[in-house]
Amino acid sequence: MEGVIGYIPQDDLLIEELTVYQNLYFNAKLCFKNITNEEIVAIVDKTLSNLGLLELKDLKVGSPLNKTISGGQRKRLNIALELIREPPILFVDEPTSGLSSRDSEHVMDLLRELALKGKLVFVVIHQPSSDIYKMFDKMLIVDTGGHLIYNGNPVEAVKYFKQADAQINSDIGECPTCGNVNPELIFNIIDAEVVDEFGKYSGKRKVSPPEWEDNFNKKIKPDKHKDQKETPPKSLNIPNWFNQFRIYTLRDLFSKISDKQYVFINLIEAPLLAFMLAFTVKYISDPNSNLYIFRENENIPPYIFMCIITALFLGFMVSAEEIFKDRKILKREAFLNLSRSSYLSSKIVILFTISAIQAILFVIVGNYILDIRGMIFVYWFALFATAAFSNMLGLIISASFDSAVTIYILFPLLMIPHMVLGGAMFSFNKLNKMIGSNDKVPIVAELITARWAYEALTVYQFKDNQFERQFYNLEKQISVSDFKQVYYIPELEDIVDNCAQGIKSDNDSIKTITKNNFELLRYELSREQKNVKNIEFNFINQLNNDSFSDYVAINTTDYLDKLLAYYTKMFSEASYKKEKTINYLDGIKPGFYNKKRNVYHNEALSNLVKKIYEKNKILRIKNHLVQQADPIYEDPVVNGFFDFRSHFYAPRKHFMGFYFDTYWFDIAVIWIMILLLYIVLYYNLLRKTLKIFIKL
Amino acid sequence: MFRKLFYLIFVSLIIVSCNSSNKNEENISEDIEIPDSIFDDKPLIISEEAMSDIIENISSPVEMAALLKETGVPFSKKYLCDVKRIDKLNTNFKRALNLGILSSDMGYLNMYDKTGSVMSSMSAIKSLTDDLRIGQFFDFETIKRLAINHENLDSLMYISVSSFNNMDSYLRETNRSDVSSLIVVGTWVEGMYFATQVAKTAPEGHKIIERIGEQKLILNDILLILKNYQNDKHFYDLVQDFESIKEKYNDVKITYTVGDPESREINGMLIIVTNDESHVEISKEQLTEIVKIIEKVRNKLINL
Repeated sequence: MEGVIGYIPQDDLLIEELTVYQNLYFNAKLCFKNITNEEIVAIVDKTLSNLGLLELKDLKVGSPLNKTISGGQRKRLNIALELIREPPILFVDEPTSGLSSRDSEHVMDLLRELALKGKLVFVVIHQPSSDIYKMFDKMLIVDTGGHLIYNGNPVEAVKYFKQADAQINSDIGECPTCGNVNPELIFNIIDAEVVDEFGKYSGKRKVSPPEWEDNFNKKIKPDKHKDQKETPPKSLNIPNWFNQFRIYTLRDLFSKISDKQYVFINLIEAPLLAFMLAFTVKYISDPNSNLYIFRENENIPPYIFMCIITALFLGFMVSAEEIFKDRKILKREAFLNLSRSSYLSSKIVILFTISAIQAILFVIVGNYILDIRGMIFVYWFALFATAAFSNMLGLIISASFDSAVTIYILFPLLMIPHMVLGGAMFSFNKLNKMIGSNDKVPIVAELITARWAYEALTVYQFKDNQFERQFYNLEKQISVSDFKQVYYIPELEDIVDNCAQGIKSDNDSIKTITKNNFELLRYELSREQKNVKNIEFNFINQLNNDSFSDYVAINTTDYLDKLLAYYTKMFSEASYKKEKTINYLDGIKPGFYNKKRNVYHNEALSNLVKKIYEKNKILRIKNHLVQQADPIYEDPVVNGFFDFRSHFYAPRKHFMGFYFDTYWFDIAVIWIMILLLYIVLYYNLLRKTLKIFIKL
Repeated sequence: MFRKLFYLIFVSLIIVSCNSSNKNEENISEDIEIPDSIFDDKPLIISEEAMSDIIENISSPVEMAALLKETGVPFSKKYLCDVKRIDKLNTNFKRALNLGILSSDMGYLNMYDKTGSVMSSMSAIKSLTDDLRIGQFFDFETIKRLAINHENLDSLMYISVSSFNNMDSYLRETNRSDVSSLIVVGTWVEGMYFATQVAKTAPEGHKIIERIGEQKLILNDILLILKNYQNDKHFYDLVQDFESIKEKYNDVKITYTVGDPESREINGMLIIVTNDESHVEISKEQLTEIVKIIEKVRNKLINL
């Protein structure tokens, strides 16, 4: 039954920003596949002239409040949209309400023509004029409660009801002189009220609907028709997915462009916000100087976070009403059986383009003012991904709710979690115990786009800028070896000593502590074996309450000493290399190193990603030792082939045995989230879930 | 005004930004090739024995500051090194030297009860120790105690010396004695700087002048240590500086008279006190010369 039915609703479902011609044109393009553009134009023009709309064709449709064309003209356009494809079965709801008698006749003539062509046209009509009444072949009257009380010729109906009411001239249907029929008579008869003894209407009907129905069934037997086996012909030949997509996109584009206010605000908003933000936070630390030094601007980390929040907000606002405001049109086009995915894709393409433009304008202004150099693509891509995510979220919301106000009420609910769990305002290790975590980013935060974008940008800004790039690997070695020799290995040595004492005790609680200590040792030492492959340790399996002995203790301590020597050497080599490099640079280009550092390196950001204010450099969590210091130099702890979780500010991420640079990995995660949201959008999962909840 | 102008023409910036950021002054974005040959020198290997002797003999900054206060010369901010300078220190060599200098400054501030200024010194010291990767010995608590608690001089000295000893043995274990040497050198130079500046206006024959003279012995020890590292250009320059200081000390005479040991009871414990006396002969001209050379070396070091 695809494409067979057409429906013209009572309310007009028009695209208000487009012209009369454009409305019809795009609709036609969506209905007809194999027709050339010239032919489409011809059909559109013909339909417009049939409905008397040809002179208005370039006028914007406008809203009922902001009228450009009259109500009657709107109605005719509404009809034109469906008429143009001449569906085999057409349902029309009150086509003549609000039209002049001349226009009404025009419209009914067209419908009649359709019927004569062999189409089936169902019309709901009120107060038809006599001429129009007589145009119909058949009339159905359905009384309150769904009772069919008449099905047959309209003029005969007058006679039937007059007879039923025992009126005098019940054999007269239409006036023999003028041919006039009065359909109102029928309704007067149907719901005539009982008159009480005072002569007043009592409010109760003389004949109830079931009685009318009975009466009809007794008096008139409907003709029996044979059951049809053939399917009705299709009048629809919809274009393929890609063409649909193209048409949707063009239509949406034209409708957006025609609203000058919309275009202007959208373009100006992003750079204006960037200017406000960047200008305000451009901090110069020396009160006596007007020279801005990037390195000394303490506001850079919060600035980055604000960029992300801004992108989230902008993305959502642009898309929040998109599907909602199309809902009338979607209702109409439901009968065309067009592809939902091509509609959604066109929306997505347009919104993503807007987001991309807004992001680039924002980044250019912001980064210029704050002198963030060489990062335009990086910031743009991260903000674009964030805004795109917000676009998808907005589309889902706009498709799932029934009023615009509900959509905006939801806005804080969707955005505040990003601010709270983004990792910038509250540290992940200083949250409620049930949410926060000391070793990895909390699971809840893994769902928050802002956290991924923020980590991506801060890590990239610190690690991959023009200055730090040269030194990062050396600094990483220095950091790792320093941590191991100052905190990690001494802690392990203490634990080994505790174990050596602990196994001698018979106290149960000490035994448990020792057991836990052994578990820690086994875990940490096997990690170290993977990290430092050329120092062997063969006693891992003896690190437990039963097999531990002084011999094992000595060997373990020996292993730790070797590790210590290894890391000490690593430290001094890396430290030496770094020192030499800086001396070399200072030698051949004095002051260059410091100048470059002032331009590309930011002290506040560096302190943030190195967590220098963290008091505890190492923590024991259950039976693991967790590094707290220098997260930017620490590779993630991997607990499985698919384990991709890590601590915040990790320089690389692990997945399936490979290490990926944090920036690209994090942005890829955002795109995966966007993909998942698309699936939710396509299957309208949110709306369906809400329905279930409301039923409960 | 420039920024407001920019706001109006943001569109043109789209085009400008496409030309990337290579128009900066001096092409700051350029990456300079680091030739592998510079890494060919062996890292510094040193002998550790000399170090512990020196540490004991070089007065801790606290001791020196106490002496200064005794002279009655008022506090002067101009003796201090500018804390903001530490931003420019990019190598461990410079950092270690300046850490020593700043420690002396902090001792001086502490002695004169300038606890307000002590705070900015503290954060500078913390930053330097973190960069030198010896932050574990200088947690804020320790520094705070050193900075604010000036009632009990003995305990203060104990804290500062013991912290330093811990740090020094760690550095020795990890082959980084050069760092402790430089810290000591920095402390000494700054301490001498205070002493010599104060000595300019101190009363004749004051103990501080004697102390300045006594440093001749320490100088030899310092030179011994520094010469260990002479292969490195920066250490070599430092050695030259100290040689020039030593030169000015050539005519200063120190004589010892060995006295009889004496047993005394202090706090219920039996202590043996040696009554050695040392006598320093240092003329006014010699002092002036020493003051000048110390000034010169110290100013050179703080401008590295």
